[in-house]
Amino acid sequence: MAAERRDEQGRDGGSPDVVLDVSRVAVEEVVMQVDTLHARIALDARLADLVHLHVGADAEVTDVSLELKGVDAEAHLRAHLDNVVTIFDRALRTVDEHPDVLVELAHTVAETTEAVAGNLTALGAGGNGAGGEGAEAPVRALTGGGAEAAEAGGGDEGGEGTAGDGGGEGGADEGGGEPRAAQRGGARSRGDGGGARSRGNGGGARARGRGGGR
Amino acid sequence: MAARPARPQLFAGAGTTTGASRADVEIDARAGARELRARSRPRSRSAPIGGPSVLTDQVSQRRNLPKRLEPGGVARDVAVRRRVAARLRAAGR
Repeated sequence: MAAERRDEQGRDGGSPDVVLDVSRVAVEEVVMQVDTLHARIALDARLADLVHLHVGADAEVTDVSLELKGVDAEAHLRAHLDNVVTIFDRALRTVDEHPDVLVELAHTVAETTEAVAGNLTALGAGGNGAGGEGAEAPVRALTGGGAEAAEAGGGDEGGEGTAGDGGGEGGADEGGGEPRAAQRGGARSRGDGGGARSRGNGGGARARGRGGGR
Repeated sequence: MAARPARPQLFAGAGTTTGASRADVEIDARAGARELRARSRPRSRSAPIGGPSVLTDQVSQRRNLPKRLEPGGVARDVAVRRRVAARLRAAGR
């Protein structure tokens, strides 16, 4: 149980699991030129096709060209994982007490996959030229299982984020973390969290002066 | 030695959370400057991520900043705060 584990570790229930605090930065002069800066913190946790939690925040600035004098700034990033643990604990307990849920789920997934694959195959056969060929890739992804299927189910977030292996990594270990774990009913958890991911294209910021960090 | 110019006052309360409104994921940032000169018109966006099972909370505060910064424009004693937070709805808290 999550609560018991916390007590054993002597942790305060209100303490965040992931913290990034820039308590204060003071700079006398900053000349900033940024084409694109993208910061994202997100928690993405999945238990087979039973539970999918995706929560986070996303920020982006573009075309920034500023001169600032007498700058003060601070930033705080926090993530709490106890709710995720609670929800997964409930879901796993339900599966433990009613394993037939997974059987039902597997049937539903199989039927849905077959139906979608059938439709895509029909589209591919009916298409002409590049269109028909293009439809084969999703069919393979849906029917091939393994990594391809898992990636297809992962959505767009799957392509991004490596930053947060800190956030949800524990779930991956417990559940096996392999792409096929989802089909076996294992727990898979991935977090972009823990990590604000930022990307800057060009430009940059110059800072000079008496300020410095404090 | 000349006295250093005063730092801009930032918005109070950033980085503090209460148990009642505690978010599962939160970004909270504040920045201020004695003087800001814009060379171009910056564009920014920030938003919570999540579907219907996610409750979101957003705070935007600005001081002495026009709605749109025009190139060449100068603003003084400016400050801005942005907080984006998200909480799982079915948390049972």
